[in-house]
Amino acid sequence: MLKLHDLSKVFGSQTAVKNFNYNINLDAHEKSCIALLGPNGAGKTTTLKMLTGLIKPTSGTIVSDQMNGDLRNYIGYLPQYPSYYDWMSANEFLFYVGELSGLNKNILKTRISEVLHSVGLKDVGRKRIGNYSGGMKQRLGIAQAIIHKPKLLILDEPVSALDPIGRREVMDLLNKLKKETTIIYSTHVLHDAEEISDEILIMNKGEIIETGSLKSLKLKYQKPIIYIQSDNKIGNWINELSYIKEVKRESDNSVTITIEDEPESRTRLLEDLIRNNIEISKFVVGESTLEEMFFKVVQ
Amino acid sequence: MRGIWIIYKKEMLEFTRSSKWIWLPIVFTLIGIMQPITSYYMPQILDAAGNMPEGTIIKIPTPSGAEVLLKTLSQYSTIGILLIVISAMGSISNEKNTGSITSTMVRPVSYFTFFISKWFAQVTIISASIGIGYGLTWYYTNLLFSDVSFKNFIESCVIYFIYVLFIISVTMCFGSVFRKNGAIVGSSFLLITALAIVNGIFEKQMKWSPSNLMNQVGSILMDNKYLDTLALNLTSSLLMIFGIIFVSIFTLQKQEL
Ligand SMILES: Nc1ncnc2c1ncn2[C@@H]1O[C@H](COP(=O)(O)OP(=O)(O)O)[C@@H](O)[C@H]1O
Ligand SMILES: [Mg+2]
Repeated sequence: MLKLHDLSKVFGSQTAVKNFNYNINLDAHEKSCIALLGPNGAGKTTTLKMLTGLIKPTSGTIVSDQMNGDLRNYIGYLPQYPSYYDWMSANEFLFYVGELSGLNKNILKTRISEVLHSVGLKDVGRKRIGNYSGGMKQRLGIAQAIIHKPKLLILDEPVSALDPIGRREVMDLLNKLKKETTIIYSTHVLHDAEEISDEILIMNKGEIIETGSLKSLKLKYQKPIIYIQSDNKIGNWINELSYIKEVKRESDNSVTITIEDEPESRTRLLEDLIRNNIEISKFVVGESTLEEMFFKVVQ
Repeated sequence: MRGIWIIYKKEMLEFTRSSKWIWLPIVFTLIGIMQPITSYYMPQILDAAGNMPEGTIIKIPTPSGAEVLLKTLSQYSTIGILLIVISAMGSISNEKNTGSITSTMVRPVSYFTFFISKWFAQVTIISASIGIGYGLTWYYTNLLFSDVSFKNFIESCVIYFIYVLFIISVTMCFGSVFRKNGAIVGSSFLLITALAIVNGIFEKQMKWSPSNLMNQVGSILMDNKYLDTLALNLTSSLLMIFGIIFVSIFTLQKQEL
């Protein structure tokens, strides 16, 4: 378990992250893939950098019962804007970072070909990094992050800068990797979070606003929405109904309401509309989604 | 220790790839041997220029070997300093600017290791380049002028080397503070030149200054002896170098990536 306790980070007068509490499970048999989802500026990069030790929290602690000494021995990190030495070949670069992580030469040689194979760069290991495409660089970034078999893989927006093909390649790779190690990755695209994560952490303005498994979050935000338009005025009595969660007034004659997710709610609403002499011209039933919830957050 | 060696090796490989191992020794050699060669051929050069009235006898006193070597070292402490500063300026700042520093610092590496291995790498390539250039200059000087003893050559070289360490450290320190190469070169060159100028004016009060090492070198070459403040001069210079390295590492630690 890696415990992030009350992490905060303040840059000058700007609070980038505040009161971040979360436990990451690192047990071999309970590996999880966590998506850190939030709009730009939410504090994702700052949070991940605190995890890597590249920046120090203004307050709060990161402790683990399974990692002793330098935490950097146990983590692999792919920065949001990675930069490697363009004059090196992938082989040389992986050798360099592998040695820094304490691997010995002989182990490294086999490990490098293993890793290059798994990220699909086996044939271009001798090529200069400067000649790599964006997708190849990103896969090399993942290769350097896993070279020392970290317990925790931290990826900052691993697919955001890629074209659809590169994105597909990296997503497939992550899907494979999540069987071997715990992954935490950030993204500002809900779809990227949904695709491979077991657990989603939604951040906004430096704070966690929602956590849970994809399934539970979907369920939580899946609420029937009903749009009603009438020929006469809809009075404020509608706000008082017990089974209604939220009323959004579009005009005098139209409202969008969110109701309790129970079968009888809809019937009760219709009955109430008739009792109040509403001349219904439109009654549209839809569903709210996690997407809408996230969209609201982003705005 | 292991980390220092790994990063040092990487720096060396970069110097090779960027041809720095070729151009830096060549430039130092050219600046060096230009001195004995132009001094030796000066009469012929003036003769060939040919716009002297007929019958003029050109009489230039032949300089001693020591004088020629000293002139080379004075070149090394002007254009040479600029070369050293240019060589060392990007060592830290380039990695910060591109972000490649992250791939090192996310491994179990301390800022001390990071800085000191780069420092050693700069010291290696710069002192090797100067060693080659100054060595060849000494060879040509002995060939064309009066002999400078091997002992004096080595001693002047070692003292100059301490001055070079100071310049490298100052540059890399500014490289840890600033990101822009212009700012790094400007402030390093300004500080070192200012120190040398102040040294020239207040010679008595500046016996401790690293720039005063050049006066020590002059004394060895010309008078075959050290100035009596050598011990103070060396100790304070080395202490300043340690201090500057300490400040650089502290600065790096304070900054966040
Ligand atoms: N080094 C820094 N100095 C000042 N402000 C920063 C720094 N890094 C991040 N911030 C600010 O902190 C907030 C969170 O940034 P970041 O963690 O990069 O968000 P995200 O990765 O979610 O887009 C932003 O408002 C950003 O401007
Ligand atoms: Mg970010």
